[in-house]
This record gives sequence, C-alpha cells and structure tokens, in this order.
Amino acid sequence: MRVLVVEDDLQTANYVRDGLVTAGFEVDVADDGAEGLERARRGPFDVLVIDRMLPGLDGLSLVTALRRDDVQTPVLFLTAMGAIGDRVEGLEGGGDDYLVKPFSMEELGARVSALARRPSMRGKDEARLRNGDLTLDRLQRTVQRGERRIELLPLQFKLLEFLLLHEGDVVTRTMLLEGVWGLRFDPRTNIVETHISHLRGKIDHPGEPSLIVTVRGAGYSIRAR
Amino acid sequence: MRASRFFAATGVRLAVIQTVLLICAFWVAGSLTKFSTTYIYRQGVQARLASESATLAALYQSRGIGEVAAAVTSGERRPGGLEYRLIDPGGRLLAGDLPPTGAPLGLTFLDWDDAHVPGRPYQDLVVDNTRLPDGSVLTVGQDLTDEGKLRHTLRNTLFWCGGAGAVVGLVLSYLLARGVLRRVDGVRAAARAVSAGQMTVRAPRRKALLPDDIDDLGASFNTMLDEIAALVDRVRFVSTGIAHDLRTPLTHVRQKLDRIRIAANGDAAVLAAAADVEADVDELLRVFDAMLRLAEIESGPLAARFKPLDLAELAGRIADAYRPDIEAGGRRLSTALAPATVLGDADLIGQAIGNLLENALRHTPVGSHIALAVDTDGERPRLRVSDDGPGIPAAKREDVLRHFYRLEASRTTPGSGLGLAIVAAIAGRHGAQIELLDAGPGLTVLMTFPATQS
Repeated sequence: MRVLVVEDDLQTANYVRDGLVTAGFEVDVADDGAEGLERARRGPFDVLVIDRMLPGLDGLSLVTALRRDDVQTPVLFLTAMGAIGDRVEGLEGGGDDYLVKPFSMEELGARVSALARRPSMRGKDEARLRNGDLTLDRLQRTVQRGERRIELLPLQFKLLEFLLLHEGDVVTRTMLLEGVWGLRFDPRTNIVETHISHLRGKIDHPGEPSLIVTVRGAGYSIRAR
Repeated sequence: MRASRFFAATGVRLAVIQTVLLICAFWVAGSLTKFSTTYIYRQGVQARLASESATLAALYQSRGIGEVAAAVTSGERRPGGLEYRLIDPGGRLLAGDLPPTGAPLGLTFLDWDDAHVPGRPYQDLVVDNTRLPDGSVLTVGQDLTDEGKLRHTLRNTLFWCGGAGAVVGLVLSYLLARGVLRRVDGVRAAARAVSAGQMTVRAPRRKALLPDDIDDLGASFNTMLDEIAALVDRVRFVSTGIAHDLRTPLTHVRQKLDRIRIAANGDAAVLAAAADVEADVDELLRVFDAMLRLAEIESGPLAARFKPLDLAELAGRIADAYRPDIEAGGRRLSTALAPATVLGDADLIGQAIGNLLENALRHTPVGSHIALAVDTDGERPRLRVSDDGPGIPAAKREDVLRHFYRLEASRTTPGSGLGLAIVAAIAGRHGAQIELLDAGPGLTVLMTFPATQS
C-alpha cells in the first residue's frame, strides 16, 4: 500500500515516514503544497496524509483541487489546526479523516490503515460477521459464541460490531469514541477501557485468551482468523 | 413571508395616518375658506342693502312717500335686483312683493326656507327694515340663493379635490413608506444573517445623491460589522497561530520520546521516565486544547451549524457511554429522559453533558448517586445533572463557572479548571441559561434552553 505524506516540517515528515514504513506502507514525501498536488494527481496512492498549513498551496485547497479533478484517494488531514470549525471545514472540503497534532504514531497508523481499506472494507454489507466461533447477526442483532447465546446491551453490540468490521486492524480509543459513541471530545475517564472490559467479560471463553487484543499504547484489535 | 407582510402592514398604517391627517387639514382649510367667503359675501350684501335703504330714505326726504313707492315698484322689476316691501303706519302695503318678514328694525338674516314670493322661491334672505319719518316701514331684502349656490360649488370643489388628494396621498405615502421600510428591512435581514453566522453579509447600500438617515444607519451598521468580522478573524488567526506554534514543538517532543523509548532497550527506569514526561505533555495539551476550545466557542460564529436535535437521545447516549465507568468508580447513574428538541450543535452539547458527568464523578465520594434528567418546563427544554455529594457553597457557585477557577478542596485533583467554564460557554452559545442549585445535599446544574419553534 502506498501513502503520500505532504508535510513541510521535516522532522515530522521523517517521523511519519518511518512510522508508516514500519507499519508496512510504502511512503512518498512531498514538502510543499504544489508538489504534493502534482504527485497526488500522478498517483496512484492508497491514502494521502496532508498537513493543512503548507507553503505554496495550503492543504485544504490541495484537496479541493484533487476532488475537482475527480481524484478520490482517501485523505487524512494531519494538522495543528484543531478548532471545531477547522475540523468541519477539513471534512467538508474533501478530507476523510482529521487528526490533530501532536499525535501518536499508533493513532496515525491505525487511521491510515482504516482509510486504506475503506473502499473494500470487509463485510460492510454482510448481514453476519464471523470471527472464529463468534457470530454477530446484524439483522437479528444477536451474538453467538460457539453454542452459547450472548446477551449484549445495545452499545456493547455496537462496539463489538465496530471491532469486527475493522477485523485485523488496530482500532484506537478515539476511533471508538467517535465511531461507537459519537463523542467528539476527549473524556477524562476510562470510558473505552471499561466498556471493553465489560464486553470481554461477556464474549470470552473462560480461561482462554481474550478475543479482543489490547495493542499497547495504540488501542484494540480483533485478529482475523 | 411574515416579514414582508409586517412590512406592508407598517406601510399601510403610515399611509392611513398620513391620509387622515391630510383629510383633517383639508377639512380645516375648507371650513376656513367657506367661512371667509360667506363673510365677504355678506359684507357686500349688507353694504348694498344699507346703501339702498339710505337712497330711498333720502328720496322720501326730498320727494315724499309716493316717489318712494314708485322707486320700489321699478326697483323690483330690475332683473337681479333687490326685494322690497313698503307699508304705511297703518300696516297697509304700499308697494313691493316681499311677504311680511316679522323682522325687527335694522339688519336681519332670515332662514326663510318656506317664505315664498309667487314664482320666486327664497331660501335664505337678508332684510333691512327702516322706519321712515312718517311712521311707514321700508323693507329692503336680498335673496341669498346665490350665496347658497356659491357655497354648494365651493363644497363640491373641496370634496372632489380633497377626495382625489386623499386617494393620491394614500397611494403615494404607502409607496413612500414601503420604500423606506424595505430599506430598513435590508438592514434587519443583514443583522439576522450575521447573527446566524454569515459574517460576510452586509446591509444593502444604494447610490444616493443626498444620503438620508437610513443610508447613514446602514453605513454605521456595516462599519460595526466590519469591526466585528475583523475581531473574529483576529481571534481566529491568533488561535491558529498559537495552535501551530505550540503544537509543532509538542509534536517534536512526542517524536523524541518515541525515539528514547526505542533507545531505552527495555530499561524500565527510562521507560517510566518517558511515560511520565508523556503524561505531562498530554496534560499540558489538554489544558491548552480546553483554552482554545473555550476561545472558539466564545468567539466563533458557530450558530450556522446548529440543527434541531433530540436532547433526550443525546443525553441518553452520553449517559450510556459514561455509565460503566461511573459504576466502576462505585457511584450510581440514573436517567429520566423526556423528549425535548433543542436547536444546537450535538458535539458541543454532548461535550457539556460529558463535562458535567465527569465533574459529578470527580467531586463526589464513592457511593454517591448522580442523576441526569431531560424535560421541558412546558416550552423550554431543560437538562439537569444532580449529585448528592458535598455540593458547592452558595457564595462560590458563580465563581466555578469562571475560567481556571477551582475550589480549594479540588486543587489536588487533576483537571484544568475549565470544565464548567466550557459548559457555561456552550450554554451561552446556545442561548441557554445555566444555574447551579442546591440539591440538598449536593449540587444540581440546570441548563434551560430557549424554546424551539416547531
């Protein structure tokens, strides 16, 4: 998978490149807006990571120009502009995700992976999601592990569904907060941790390792099998 | 279009008032004209009668009563002439056609509608009675039918001119008022658009040779808006600048910490130190984010993004998110949610509810009960977060809504001191009232939103 990083701060550009390469991506770097637009047009890339404040052509105009040319590559804005208005502007201007600096590499890696898979995201329209002996029926809204029927609260169901849809990927705390609870702020409590621990208590076989794996410093993941 | 209808109504009202005033003025002017015309006419008639009486009296002196009677008879035959009646001291008619009037000596105006001289109807009549030296009485009279005709013509003229004037005035003043009010409405529409977040809208300008009050109003209004827009831009620019200048070095710190962690090669002490620094950086960021968020909420034109939302659904969602955590902390969360629609930003109101729940969780002892309620007071949606913890002393309640204010008791707990200030700012943005009440024991935070028109 190829990622184009458009970032004028050299230190951050190198950090992002190294991090994404370690995560298994092939990475190109452009250090100004005009060059970024040129490279993105020529493509092909699976994801574009774009700073908003760039010399030459700013990130938002870059993406607007790309979308006008019908280049639909998913875009993640990686920016210091963190106001609510900036975020709305970024997403309405053609961005698919918005991450505010400073960021952790794990968060960025998880979001880039999610974007890279987005078009063919596994099981998006499937009525049943399976993982090992766990089955989640999206129409009946039931969950079964082996022969055991599991009763979940609506939010627990949604959380499990979200994790299964991102099977094989790391899902970060903020992705869960946004995707499952629709929270666009950072709660100062352990909301996600507590919900995950309750969910684990319900779905796991006693005495076996948990189906939901904690990825240290990053988030959670359900392994593909 | 309610606005334009109101508009037209104001125009109509002004036009009607002006027309009524016009008619009043016309009526007063007409009455004065009628009065003075009548006065001048009667002055003339009076002079004519006095002169005729004097002439006939002089004729009596020089020629005697016989000549007077002859003069009366011939005078009566003159077309357009006067009317006469001459009786001797015994009351016998000597000459003249005028019926007896019963008027005293001197000048008398008679309203003599039914007095008739054959073939000659009188309407009003003025007579001058003179007693001649031999005791006979001479009456000289003037038919006032002409005056009546004059008055009638005058009245007709005034009526039609006045009527036409009133109609034309009504239409003209309506058009004029509508034009003026339409311009005022332009200013009003601009004000409304700007309040709704469209900062670029301005009151319409027109090219006028002689600018009037409304041009002046529009110009001042636009100047004011330019100032506000510049201010908002400056705040935004400063916020973005601060954000960039602070976030970039913090990003570098994070990156360096990562490198240290890799270089630590499993050294527990180094890893712990790195984690410590990271926690500090995160705390710094949180306070800083809260400040920027606060500045944005307080200054930004966010109203443009407001949509109707179900407050109960939103509160329920946030409560569900927080419940396990609140329960894990040994406290209880109960909800009572009745449907209520609020015009607002779901992310912001969600954050306000989250902040209130976190606040309740942080400032109550284990075993406390936290209650989240949504209802309406009939019209206005209300959101209430109560706890049965230690509460806030009445004297300090205002203070906790201020930026960075923290009660002594909570200095040692983590938190920016901006949580409630952000809640207050979010409430302010939504035109909601926020009150801190005694829950006896404990604290109730009550947000009352403005009623939404459905």
